[in-house]
Amino acid sequence: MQINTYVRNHKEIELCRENRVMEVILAHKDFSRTGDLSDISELAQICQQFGIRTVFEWDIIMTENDFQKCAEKFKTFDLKNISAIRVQDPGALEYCLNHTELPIQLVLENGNHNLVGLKKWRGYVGERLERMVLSIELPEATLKEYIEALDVPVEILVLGPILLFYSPRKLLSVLGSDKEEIIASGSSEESPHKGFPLIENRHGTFMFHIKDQSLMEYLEDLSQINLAYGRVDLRQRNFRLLENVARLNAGDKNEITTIKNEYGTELTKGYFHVNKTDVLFPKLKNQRLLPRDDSFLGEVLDVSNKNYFAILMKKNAALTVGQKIKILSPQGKEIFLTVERVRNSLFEVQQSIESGYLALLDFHSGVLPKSLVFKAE
Amino acid sequence: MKTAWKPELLAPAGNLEKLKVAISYGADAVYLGGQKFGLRAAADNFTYEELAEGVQFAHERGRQVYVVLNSFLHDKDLNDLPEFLTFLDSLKVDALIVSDLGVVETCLNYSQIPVHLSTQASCLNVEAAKFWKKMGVKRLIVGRELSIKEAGMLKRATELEVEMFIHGSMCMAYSGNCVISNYTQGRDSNRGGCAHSCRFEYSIDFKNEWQEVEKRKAYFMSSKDLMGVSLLEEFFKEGIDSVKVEGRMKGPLYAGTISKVYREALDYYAEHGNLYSQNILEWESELKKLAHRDYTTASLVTPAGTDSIFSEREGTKDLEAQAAAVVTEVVKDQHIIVEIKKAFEIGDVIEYVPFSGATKAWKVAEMATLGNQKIERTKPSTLVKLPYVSGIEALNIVRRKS
Repeated sequence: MQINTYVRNHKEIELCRENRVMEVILAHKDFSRTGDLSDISELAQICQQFGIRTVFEWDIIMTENDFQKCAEKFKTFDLKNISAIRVQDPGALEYCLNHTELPIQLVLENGNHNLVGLKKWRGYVGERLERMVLSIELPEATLKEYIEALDVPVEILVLGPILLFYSPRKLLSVLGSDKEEIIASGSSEESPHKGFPLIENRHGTFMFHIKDQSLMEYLEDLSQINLAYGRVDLRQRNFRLLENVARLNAGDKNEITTIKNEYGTELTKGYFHVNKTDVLFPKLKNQRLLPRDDSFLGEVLDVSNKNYFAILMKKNAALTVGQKIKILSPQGKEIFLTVERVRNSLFEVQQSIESGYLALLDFHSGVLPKSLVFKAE
Repeated sequence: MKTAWKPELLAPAGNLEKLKVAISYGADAVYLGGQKFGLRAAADNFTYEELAEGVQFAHERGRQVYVVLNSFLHDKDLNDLPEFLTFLDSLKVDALIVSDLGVVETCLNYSQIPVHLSTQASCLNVEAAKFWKKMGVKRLIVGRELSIKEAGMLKRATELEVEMFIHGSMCMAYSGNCVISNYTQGRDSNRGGCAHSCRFEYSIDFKNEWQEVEKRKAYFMSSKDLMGVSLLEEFFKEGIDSVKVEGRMKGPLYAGTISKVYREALDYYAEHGNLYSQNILEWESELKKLAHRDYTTASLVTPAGTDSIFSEREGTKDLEAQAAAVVTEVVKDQHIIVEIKKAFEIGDVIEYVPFSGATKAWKVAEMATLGNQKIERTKPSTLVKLPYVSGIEALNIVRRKS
């Protein structure tokens, strides 16, 4: 596995060269979400001289008006020292496929949690696809499966900030700052987590997790599953830690402790072992509302103690005297009854009540409003 | 100038009752979710049976039903999708709303139903639209960051149908680009687990020029709600195929009111070729009676600015009208039966909202239980008999005037 990283100046490129980090990402302020480079040509030229590959990052999401401005600006760039381009917006992908000949690194970090979709992306970009940048929410086992199934090198973030939120709106300057780039931190009344890093810049507002992603303990495992690139983003940290990461990737496990101690913020392995972000869903759901079958007759809308309960009959259902029914209360209690008498809303005794009308049955203890009524056989 | 053509009015249907209410009040189409694959894990959603009934109800009235499958599905979620698609095919559902490329591919492989690209895919530019056209989608539900003019550009460049949100709550983030819930609540926001973290108050720490920390408290990530009724002319001019209202989690009053107001506004413009400010004020007044977070036109004309931030705690406003009941049954010249949603009492002024035309208000003078026992005050989740009111129909909504 190779390491790649973002660089912003000559010194950082030197450090990459010294540590044999042979691919760097150039984040231009107009094209990259949190990029701050005004000019990439000089850095790209230096990298070229050092034999370091350069990747131009175009990962902002663009409305049509913004896209047209980006495309105009993009035409002015000298790309001769650029080795590849990485894109996320399908518009940027289309543009680069049609207007450049550069290899494509496709960022699929947002969603893209199924192989059917990934294979479709792979097939569409075809020979121009140099790499797929996948989500850090994929557990190791899934990542392994994908790497085996996709015949293209894969990259994930192994050390760096976790982006939680990306808005085009400027949400911080309204609070009183007039800087072009605003850096702050936020703590929500809702969450026990405190101090989410915040950035507002020309592209909008970004919020990051309070902990950075770190798979430093698992670099060897990632190599074994044939992860091609592990991305390290130290732009908000001490860039010299790149030396430690490079030594760790070369096998020096003592570096793990140093990286952890000197990193400057808490670290998490995120979803690397397991992703259970759907296990709470059944608890969000009212069990009473789970699927009903053909036996469903209607819902109890009203109960009058010792008098009656009223069922609103559903479409294509009828309730007939002598019919056996099951009533499921909101608490899950089941009550079985035989319909002995049924009345309409005028309290007239009927032989049956059709769909769409109210059916009044004699009161039965335990039947509550919102109970569901089913055929019992 | 009269126009024969008008955009489709697409309303939310969180459950069967809301579907019927929205269609009865004039929605051309509704969108709804099954028990899985959508982004509202906590919503009622539709069982197979209810789906069948909902589609039948809509189709009998010449309306359309779109089913949302807009989660970013994982492999294991995809396993169950073909069976559901077969079922939807059998119902002749009119479209599927999808955001993930793997789901698009699965839908195209296992059903004949047209695929609409969900706003969750944040399709915002012509080149992206061309990409999705190649992937087989028939309609783009463009991101809410796009202006109406830009959406028109996407339509002309691709000849795809274009659908835009015109009303309702908004994500502050680019849709599909927020995973706060994943990391703070352990719930995948893009599979239906969004915890609405953006709606809470935050304490923000800034460093000033002397590196001292300054604190501010703010609802800085909460967006005002969208309201685009005043911009209908632009939707017509740009040929936007469908105007959509957000809000599957909201109640029947909402489903009915937004369907009625936008129906009237669309029909009025199609008939007269203009909208007078007085009309717009009346429609906006009706929409302001619904619970909302202050309204904005967001990015429909120019990119949403700082005035689009809703900097207040939710639910602190008094509303002019509140949901009181839905009419369950009408026995002509005798009585109406309503299902109580919010209590009212003798002496209160209530009004029913007909499917078209003006509301009719009256002071409650008498009411009774189903068993004809006189009552002074209603209780939620009960049925109440009111004297017959001429013109009222089943599924009409009843509001209490405050």
